[in-house]
Amino acid sequence: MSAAQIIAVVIFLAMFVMIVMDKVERQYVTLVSGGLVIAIVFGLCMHSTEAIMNTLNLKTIFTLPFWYGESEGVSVGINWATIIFIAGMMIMVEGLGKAGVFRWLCLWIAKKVHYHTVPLLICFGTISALLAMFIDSITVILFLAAVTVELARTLKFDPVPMILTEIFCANLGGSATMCGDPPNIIIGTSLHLSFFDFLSNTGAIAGICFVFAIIYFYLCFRKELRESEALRDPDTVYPNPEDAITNHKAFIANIIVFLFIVCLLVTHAQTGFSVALIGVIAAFLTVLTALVTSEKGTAPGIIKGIDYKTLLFFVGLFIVVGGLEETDILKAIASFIDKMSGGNVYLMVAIVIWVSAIASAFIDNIPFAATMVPVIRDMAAAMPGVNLNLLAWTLALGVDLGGNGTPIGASANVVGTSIAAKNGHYITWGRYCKYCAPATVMVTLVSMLCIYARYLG
Amino acid sequence: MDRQIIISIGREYGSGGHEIARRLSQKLGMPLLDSTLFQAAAADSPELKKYDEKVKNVWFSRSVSGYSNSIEENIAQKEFDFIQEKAAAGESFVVVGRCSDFILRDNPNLVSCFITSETAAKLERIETYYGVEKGKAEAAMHRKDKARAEYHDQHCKTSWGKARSYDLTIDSSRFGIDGTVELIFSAIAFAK
Repeated sequence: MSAAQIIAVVIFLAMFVMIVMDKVERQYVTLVSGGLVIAIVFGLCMHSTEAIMNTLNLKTIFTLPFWYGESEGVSVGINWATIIFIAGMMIMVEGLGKAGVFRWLCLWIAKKVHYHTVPLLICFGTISALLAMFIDSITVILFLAAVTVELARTLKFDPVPMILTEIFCANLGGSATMCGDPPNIIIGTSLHLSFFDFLSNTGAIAGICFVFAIIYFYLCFRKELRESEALRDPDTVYPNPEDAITNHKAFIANIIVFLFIVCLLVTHAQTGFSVALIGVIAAFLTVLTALVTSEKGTAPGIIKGIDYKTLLFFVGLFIVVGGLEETDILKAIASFIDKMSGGNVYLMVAIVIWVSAIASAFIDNIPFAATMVPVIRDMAAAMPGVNLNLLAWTLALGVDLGGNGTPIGASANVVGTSIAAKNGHYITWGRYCKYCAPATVMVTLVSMLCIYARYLG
Repeated sequence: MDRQIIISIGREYGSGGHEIARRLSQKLGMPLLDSTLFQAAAADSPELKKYDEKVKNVWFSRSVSGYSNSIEENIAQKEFDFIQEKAAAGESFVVVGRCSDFILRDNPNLVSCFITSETAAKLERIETYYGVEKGKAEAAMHRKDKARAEYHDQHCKTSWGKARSYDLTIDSSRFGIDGTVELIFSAIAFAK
């Protein structure tokens, strides 16, 4: 190994350990690590300005295919499309939240099922998955878990079973589309896959997994929820969904913007709009909506809602992964997996999906996916019989579904368990894993079998 | 006294810090915020007793946008909020540990104290008052103090037990429990 390779690996591992230890905010960790990669690996060791420029990848933003039209080849370095898209979606989601859309939706569903807990479990699981297909799972769980706790207090049931189901379904829904989970956005934009590519591949498999998951959680929790319903006070006063709407004009306008953006995403392969452009449109329309329908100060408030820390985290992360890429470390990993599988595609799929799932259950799946994208690209290039898209779907499903395995596997899990804890319902590792770990193994297995049957059968 | 007074007592295990806090609260006629009160406030949460003033395990915890899955962290935050709400409401009280020296540092009515003691005196107290066997007292003392230091430093920008982190640092084996109570009581009148 060369000095550049050793240093790139050391920086990468140190970054991972620092992220796990959570002593320093993760965006600082990745940005400092990225700075070290540029200064030491690219500058001192490789003396390569080209490697720096490739990794910073700024040129790409000023090209037409970045915004519109058919882009060719694959991206390396900082994935600006991912960052711009996520920023745009953050603004749109902030607008929807401020207008009361999510809270209204949750309460409306609860009313429609007459506040019966078992149908509520199924409906909240379903809505969690559906919303997570288009907006980030943190927001979905933030609203769903909060409403669940509120309803649990009124309807006298333990909210934990429902929150666990919502978390699981949010991660499952996120795996169905290109914009559902950050790893999918990274995979999709890096390999130039479309929203529809994801929907018709990971989406179809996630749909099958969802059926299994809902039946599983129904069987786990039905007795407990029914018993609590029997103890409910007949004079219970139920919350009114209409009370969730803070501004009717903004409420309608934001829903229209959301549906329009969903249409743009579904058709972006046909229209030629890139996800970066869709992100910008989402942000622009949301801010415009706020200016037209809401009081002064709402639009700046929405822009302030952008999670800059996450965006900076991405920037640093892509540079560090770029360091591994430019020093050919990822090629070596690809070749290692290739050797381990002995060229057997079945085994290769099994390795990618299970390693991704197990790793994502314990570590942040975003850096893992960002690292694995170049690896699967190299694997597909080295083996003529292996389709890159097949590995992309396998990786996406592995990292997205694996995150369900533990309370720290995905952002939605952390937010959901935290909201429960803040309201006095503490979810221990034991309780979480008792229900979600077997379900994770089940859906990962189902996904692997679906991949075998559909692409290798 | 007319004005708000908040006394924060940090303590080494076996130093008599809790007893000093209890006597101060009685002397001043102020409520004592300690584990008994926090546990009573969350009677329906048996987890509170288990995770109260405990350090989070960094390998099994993760934070996202200010949310954490760690029960230890969530319970700590709840207690911090509880203490801060009482302080903001203008209430006077004596609070034992729970990073109160740091989380209330901007409150001008706070007098933060740290109670230390000679090892021999601490061991005697641990054996007499907590009923720990003679051979196990020293290990228990080190374990408890290490945990308290980690808990404090995980949540605060100041260091547990360092004189600079507190208004007063007192050796209770030198002044005795009553003497320490009197020292803190006298100091309150001079606090600006």
